Amino acid sequence: TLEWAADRGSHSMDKSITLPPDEIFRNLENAKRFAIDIGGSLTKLAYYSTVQHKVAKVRSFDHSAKETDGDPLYEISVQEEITARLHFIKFENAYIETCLDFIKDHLVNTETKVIKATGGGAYKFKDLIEKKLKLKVDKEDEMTCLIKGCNFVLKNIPHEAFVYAKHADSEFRFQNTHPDIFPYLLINIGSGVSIVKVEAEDKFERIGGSSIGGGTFWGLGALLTKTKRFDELLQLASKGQHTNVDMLVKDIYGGAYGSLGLTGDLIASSFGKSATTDKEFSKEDMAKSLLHMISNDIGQLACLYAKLHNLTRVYFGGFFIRGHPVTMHTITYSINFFTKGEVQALFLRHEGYLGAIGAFLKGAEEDNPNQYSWEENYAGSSGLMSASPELNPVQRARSGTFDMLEMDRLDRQLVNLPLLQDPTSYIPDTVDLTEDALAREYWLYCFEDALDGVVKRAIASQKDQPEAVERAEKFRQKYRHKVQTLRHQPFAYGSLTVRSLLDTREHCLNEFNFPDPYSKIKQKENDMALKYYLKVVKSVEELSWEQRQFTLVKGLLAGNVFDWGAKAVSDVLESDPEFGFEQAKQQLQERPWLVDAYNQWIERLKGPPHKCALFFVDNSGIDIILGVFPFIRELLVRGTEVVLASNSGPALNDVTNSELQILTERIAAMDPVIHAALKEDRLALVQNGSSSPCLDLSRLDKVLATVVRERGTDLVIIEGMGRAIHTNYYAMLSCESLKLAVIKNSWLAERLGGKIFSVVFKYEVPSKAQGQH
Amino acid sequence: MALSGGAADRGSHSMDKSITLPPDEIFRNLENAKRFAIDIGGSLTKLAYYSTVQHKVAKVRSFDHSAKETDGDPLYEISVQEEITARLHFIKFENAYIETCLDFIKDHLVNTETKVIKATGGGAYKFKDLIEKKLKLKVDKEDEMTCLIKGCNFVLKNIPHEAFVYAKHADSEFRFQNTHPDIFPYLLINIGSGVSIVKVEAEDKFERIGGSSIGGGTFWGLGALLTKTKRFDELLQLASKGQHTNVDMLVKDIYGGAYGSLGLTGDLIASSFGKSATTDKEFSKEDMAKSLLHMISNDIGQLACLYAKLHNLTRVYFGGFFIRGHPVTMHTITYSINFFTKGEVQALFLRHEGYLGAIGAFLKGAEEDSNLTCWRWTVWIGS
Repeated sequence: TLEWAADRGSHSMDKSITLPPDEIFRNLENAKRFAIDIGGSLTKLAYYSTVQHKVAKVRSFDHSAKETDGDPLYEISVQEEITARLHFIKFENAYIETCLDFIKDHLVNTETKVIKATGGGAYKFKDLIEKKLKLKVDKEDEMTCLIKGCNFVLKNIPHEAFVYAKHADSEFRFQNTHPDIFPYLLINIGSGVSIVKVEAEDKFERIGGSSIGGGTFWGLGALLTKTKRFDELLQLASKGQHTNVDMLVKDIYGGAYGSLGLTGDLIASSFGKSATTDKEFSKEDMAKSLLHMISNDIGQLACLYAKLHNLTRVYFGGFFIRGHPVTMHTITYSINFFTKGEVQALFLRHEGYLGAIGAFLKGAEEDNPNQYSWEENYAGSSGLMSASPELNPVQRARSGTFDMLEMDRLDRQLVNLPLLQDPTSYIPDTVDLTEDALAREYWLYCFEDALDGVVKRAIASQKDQPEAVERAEKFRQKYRHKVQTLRHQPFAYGSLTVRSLLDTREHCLNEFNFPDPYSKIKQKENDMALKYYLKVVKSVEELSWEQRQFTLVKGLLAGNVFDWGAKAVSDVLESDPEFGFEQAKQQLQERPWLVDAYNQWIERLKGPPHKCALFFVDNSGIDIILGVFPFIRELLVRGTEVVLASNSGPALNDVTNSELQILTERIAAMDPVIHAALKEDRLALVQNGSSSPCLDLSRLDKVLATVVRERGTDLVIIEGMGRAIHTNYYAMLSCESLKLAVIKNSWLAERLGGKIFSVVFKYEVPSKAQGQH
Repeated sequence: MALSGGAADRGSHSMDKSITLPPDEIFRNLENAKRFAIDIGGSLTKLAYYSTVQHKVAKVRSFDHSAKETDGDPLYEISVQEEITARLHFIKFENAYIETCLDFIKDHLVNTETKVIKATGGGAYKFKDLIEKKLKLKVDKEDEMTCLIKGCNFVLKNIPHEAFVYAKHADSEFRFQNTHPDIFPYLLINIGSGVSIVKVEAEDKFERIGGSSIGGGTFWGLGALLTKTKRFDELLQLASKGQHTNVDMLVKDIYGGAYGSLGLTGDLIASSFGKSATTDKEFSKEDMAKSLLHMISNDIGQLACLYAKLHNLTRVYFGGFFIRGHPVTMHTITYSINFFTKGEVQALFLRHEGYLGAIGAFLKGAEEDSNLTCWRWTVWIGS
């Protein structure tokens, strides 16, 4: 651990870094394509690197040779895979020399010759960088980088933009990413103000600006209060009363100026009182008045430019805004005042990184970074800082020194499900834990409580590796720290949801090379369930049509009880491996179910068959083999094409696409119906592009979207708590949909008005008016 | 009687001006004065009244030619007669003299049929009691903005060459504009303590479409804090001698030159007072005042342009005490408007801008009994 203390200007630093630098500048060995953005006080470094991951692969045995009864269905091997990752690190300029030294020492791969640089400081530090890193500094246009970076985060990070509401339950209200991010207005408040209209990826124009910006607050503030530090000025301002310095409407007219619609408390003249009064004004009051003056002015200009250019999305950035609740509040207030709520002031979680991201993208254009989708890695990113300085001061001090953002390149491009009724208003998550404090408390407790079990499972999955215990312990610490951070800062990675908690856990597991802790359990379950497949299919075939439909639905639901992700079930499964399919059926709630649209579904089935059903599957084992397959078999027999969408990567015991391919082959070998459907391409397997136990229908594999469109999909089935309850419960589709799940969590069941093992069977038909897409 | 050495005290600062003009040359025709109106601003009082003037006029009269015609007789005869004509009087003086002036008016108000004085302006409230006590007239408050707009419409309609463009370095500083037959619509930017942006569409139709708290009061208030100079005029004087580039951060200070790709020249102010954020040196009062003046003028200029564009208006008049007769502020506002509209909109100023409120208040009062506004006035304005 290095203990760094650096000196900035004439002001000594009161912070020192205790974080080991190799936890900040990660994966430097393979780093290439450096970019640096040096601002007035902060440096942002970006590099591209590759990460070696352990991934669990499944491979079918050669069954043609000889089949032994005790042999597993497929083999699991752990392989090394290399994935691309973007690293962004933000630190104070004071540390720049130390940081450059560290980078130099760890830059093993030296094929990199150039570092892209942007920001006002790029010029100043050019020589130092060239000397230290032996890289040629290549300057890039600041505004181009800023816009490029802004486009990138808006496209690739869900919940990038937020509205700031000081007095609301949740300070940050995250916005859905609009599928089309253009056009928008970016108000960059640095020393001055730049107002930029962005119309397309490479089309932007600076349509206005103002000299009254952050530098004016800082400069005038320094002259008025003799306080030289920007942060201190903001602190002063947050304690001041502007009414002591400003002349209000009521100071002139004795009250409101009703006929002009001016309230008495409106500021008529900033600093108007200091014109005619001789008294001394407090530093706090003057700083506050100055802050209001500047924020209001920028707010009004922003509104006027937005109106003139007919733009409704207005993002604010620059050092004046960056992480400062005080300025976010005053800007928000001003925008609300001037537009009467028509325009919302939007802020960006990664605003500080825009320049660095843009400079990096400029340098990496040959890699076509915009061709891929990227995903924020929750394990490696610092997250948004708490707004209130009282809250978690330690966290603030540390993240104030070093802040990180890591983004993983996904193998595929992610797009909307074409069947979303309104992609702009689609919200995947059912409950926003950022706003729902009670639910937040429960789920955070739940995830922390389940941590021991996850650690145990992780170790058990790598019994042959003794150091797995140590890695699992590191995982435990990291995830616990994340959960604790989220308790104080639920908004750290956008809206907190059950999904984000699950995803964060998956990211952390991957981080410590536990790519698929459930692989062996899944293998065992799949093996076992496959043995019962024909028996289940046969018993169903003997039933009358009505009975058969009900048994198939019940089977689908019973299969869904087998879920290692839910604590109540993992307890039972762990203690009693014999817990069988029939027992599960008995556990199910009797009809009428908690949500029961079964009758409507049956009526529908009496009508013509669907053209094509898209089925988002859930767990491996009994769920997929004894629940889903018999169900879709019936659909296939009816003449409906079926597309099974499964996870691209592992998450809990969810069946992955590669596992499902093997399982389908094996089932096809036993069952002529499935065999024929596969052969005739009436049954297709696609991956959904995700490695989450939940489902974001706005970020799906592009191939899936194409298949859905080409096959004229008219029925979407979403199964399981993660995909149909925690997410998508309220998702509106433009075709018929079935959302079904068994509530395997008593708290959630109670919240929905039922008991544990309550059944949700939601069948929805879009109203005619909305029509098909 | 001469009002001399009227050393009134305003705040803690003694007045350095005194009136040596005899008051009866200022408050003329008071004997028949009626319909008083007063506009009391932050520092100046404007008084308006209507009066009749006895004039000697030369009249010609044709002789009766039917009777008898003599060759040497002139064609017509000339006689001098007394005639009474109506006249409006407007007088502007510093608030410090208000009490003395009221006393003088009281002493010379012979005709006492007037019962009411129309009052407007922020100070109307403050001086209400004094006026009522001194003049024994009931103070009748009129809406400030309504008076301002009424007055503005009146001068634009009745006074040719009322509006002018200011050009500091041109041969003639003031370039007067022809009165457009239809004065509407126009934008009035009133820069008092704060800024009001008013769109005027017809005689009685106007709307405050915007405003800003960064106005004359901000220049005065921040200027006083920064330079310890308490007088507005002195602050303007300081500003006219300063160099804003010592305090402001220019585009070239950041980028070493112009920022070509964004179309920003090197001399453009990137950040007002940007240099004082990071420099420890002392800044001169003159430089700070100049920087402040630029900051405020540019800001108002930009807002004016944006509102003009949004509402599709090309005639933009500037008024208020920030502008009133100050070439320095007229210049910076003009510069700013030219910069932001690339010459598409011209900043217009009014010769009688200071009287708008008083004229408007007077007209409000006059409307109430006879329809004076239809008349074509020859306005006499003394100052």
